[in-house]
Amino acid sequence: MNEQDDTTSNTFDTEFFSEPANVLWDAQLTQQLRVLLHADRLLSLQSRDEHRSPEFQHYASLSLALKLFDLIITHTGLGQDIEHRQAIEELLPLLEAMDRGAGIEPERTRAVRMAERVLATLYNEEERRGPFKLDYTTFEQGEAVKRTLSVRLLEERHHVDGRTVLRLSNECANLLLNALTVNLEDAQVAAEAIIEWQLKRGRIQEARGSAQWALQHSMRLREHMEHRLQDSRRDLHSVDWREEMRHMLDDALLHVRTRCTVEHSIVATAREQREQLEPGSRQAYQLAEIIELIETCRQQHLMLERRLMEAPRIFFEEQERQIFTLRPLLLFPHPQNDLLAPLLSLPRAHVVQTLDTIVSACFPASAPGMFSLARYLHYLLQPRREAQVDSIPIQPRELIDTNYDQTRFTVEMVERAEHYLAALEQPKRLSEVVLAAQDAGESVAVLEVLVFLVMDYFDEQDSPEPEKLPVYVLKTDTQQFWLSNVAGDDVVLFPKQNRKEHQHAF
Amino acid sequence: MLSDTQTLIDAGRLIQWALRPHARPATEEEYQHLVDRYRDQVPFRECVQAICRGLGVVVTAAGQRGVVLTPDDDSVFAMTAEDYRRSGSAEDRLIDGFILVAILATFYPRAQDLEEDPLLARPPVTVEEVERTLRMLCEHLEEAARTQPDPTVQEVTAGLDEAWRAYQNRVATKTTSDGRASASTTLQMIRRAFGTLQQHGCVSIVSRNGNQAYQPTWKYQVMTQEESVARLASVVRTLIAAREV
Repeated sequence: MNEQDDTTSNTFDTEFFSEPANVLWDAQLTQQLRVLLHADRLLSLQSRDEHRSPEFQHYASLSLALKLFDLIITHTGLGQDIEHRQAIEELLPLLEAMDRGAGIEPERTRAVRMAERVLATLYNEEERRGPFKLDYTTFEQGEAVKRTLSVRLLEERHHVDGRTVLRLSNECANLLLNALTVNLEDAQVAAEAIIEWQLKRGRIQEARGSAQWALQHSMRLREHMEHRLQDSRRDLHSVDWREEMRHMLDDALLHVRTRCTVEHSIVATAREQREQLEPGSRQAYQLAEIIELIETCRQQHLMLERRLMEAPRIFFEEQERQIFTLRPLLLFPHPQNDLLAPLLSLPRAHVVQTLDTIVSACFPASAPGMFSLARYLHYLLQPRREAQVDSIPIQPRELIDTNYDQTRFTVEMVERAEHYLAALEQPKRLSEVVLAAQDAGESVAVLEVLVFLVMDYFDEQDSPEPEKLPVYVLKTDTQQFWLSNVAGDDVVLFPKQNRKEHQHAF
Repeated sequence: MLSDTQTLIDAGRLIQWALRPHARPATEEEYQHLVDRYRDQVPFRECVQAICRGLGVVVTAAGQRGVVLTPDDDSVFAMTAEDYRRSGSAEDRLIDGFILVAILATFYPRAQDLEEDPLLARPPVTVEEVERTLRMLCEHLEEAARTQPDPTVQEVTAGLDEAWRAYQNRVATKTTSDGRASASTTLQMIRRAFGTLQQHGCVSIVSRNGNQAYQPTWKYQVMTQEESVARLASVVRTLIAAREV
């Protein structure tokens, strides 16, 4: 697969060579060169140590990386895969030992930072987790050719159970456990090598996890094939059916048949080992699980074989369907420069009109909420949750008298407003009183208090002491008022002492 | 050919599972069975896809990690700006839209990142990184606008000033009178966006170097790479074309 990633950057003339380069250069040497290049990234960890700040220089990154790889291989399997956070925790004892070895007081924060750095380097965080790019020279058809090898070491992958787990790249797993090979099918070889290695060393628990990983790889291979077929459905031109797909189908069919043989061999090894164990023991049970898992792998391969047989039919169907359709643009836009920046630079009103489309594009389909009377009743009828008084000690609180009302208006404002009402000698409309206050230069807040007081006095029954109210408020007609700050019914305010005398006048 | 009743029921069940944000085939036997059936049986797959077409959703991916459904713009299953924020001003909604696109752009800072296998988890990002992405772009746009005359009052009233000014004018941090972080600041709005994405199973919270960060899930990556980017690009193209007319 990486050979496809390789890019030719320069070709040199070979006329100065006394004999063709292909005689001098065996293709196997290219393979070995690529293996060494994979190791180069690991070895570069060692050289980085010298350039770290003094407090981190005593840590050996390469040792930490190898321990990390070992942890990943040991834990790989459904439900056992190690996560980023766990990996950090597992490395801490080593870091502590390195601290002690250097005569430095261990410190958790520093150790965590170092472990994070090692992981970040292996992820290639500097390139936003893109592959490492390594240049090398090989010789093809008598010519020296410069190529670039793309290498990944450590990946975070989405697990089927929703977690994000650490995985070695196929190349890295093969580098550590096997000879380096570079196509997708070799992920299966790597998984099987791990199982055999673990079986030979009696590490059956780990082998069980690895067998689950093997199952995962079988599924991944199937997903990969289906992904390519889906690509064909989306755009026939995105898949090279003449060369790439034909070879891939041939290789995959060969792979499926070979894997069935290998899986049969692993099952036989596991059965042989099981015979040496005590029947009914925990290890015998685990081996039985491995056998079952590998059998499931075989089932996956049989299903894959069926898909492979269907592939040519899909090609012909899609060719027929797409032959008269326009080829869609395959280039992805640059998210910042081609999406976000143009949106920001457009007129606000135009963007607002498309907000629904923007928001809906950023979320998956979600079920609209519907009111359920049954569920609501269930909620209302559920028993009250009992307070667990003993579980958490509750400190007795010291209660004090206080007024929790947050006052918007100060006492002075209220007094100023009350003054206008208390000073009334003749009945007046509210608008006149407000205007008088406004002309006297009162603030808007005092005018608001004035209006609120009138609203408060409107119903005497609301007041605890109605006899103490300075005015009576009556709505005598439908007259309205509209001033700059207040508006509403223009009620009449009667001074309390002569309410009845003047009431008839209105 | 019409499907039998049981097939239709099963297709409905699969769609229901797909609409549950946190359900996974690995932990739900029925979901796993239906996903396998979707992948292996062409008639069942066609039945599910036909129902989805009627509902206005597209089956973007179906595999061991679940089924990803993406809605058409006018689908009842599509989230609208109003669903996202029940109360708030038009400017709040505008900033929400920018934040959602900025989150995508921070997860995928380069075009080639969108070509990666969605099974490979993208690196986590923090609230501050999204804020930086937006502030940096706003600064660039402000720099470019210096040679242009300022928008007139009429243009601002009509909403014809550039949209970046809305984000630029919004403060990043502010506290309320009782010491809490104000919900109207950009940092809080980004936190809210991540919270909503998490509720929809699109991001998970992780801790990196002692900071809280958000990592996209497989569902978000598939949705973004297969649908979101193309739809957003289409929106941008339409808006630019409308401006040039």
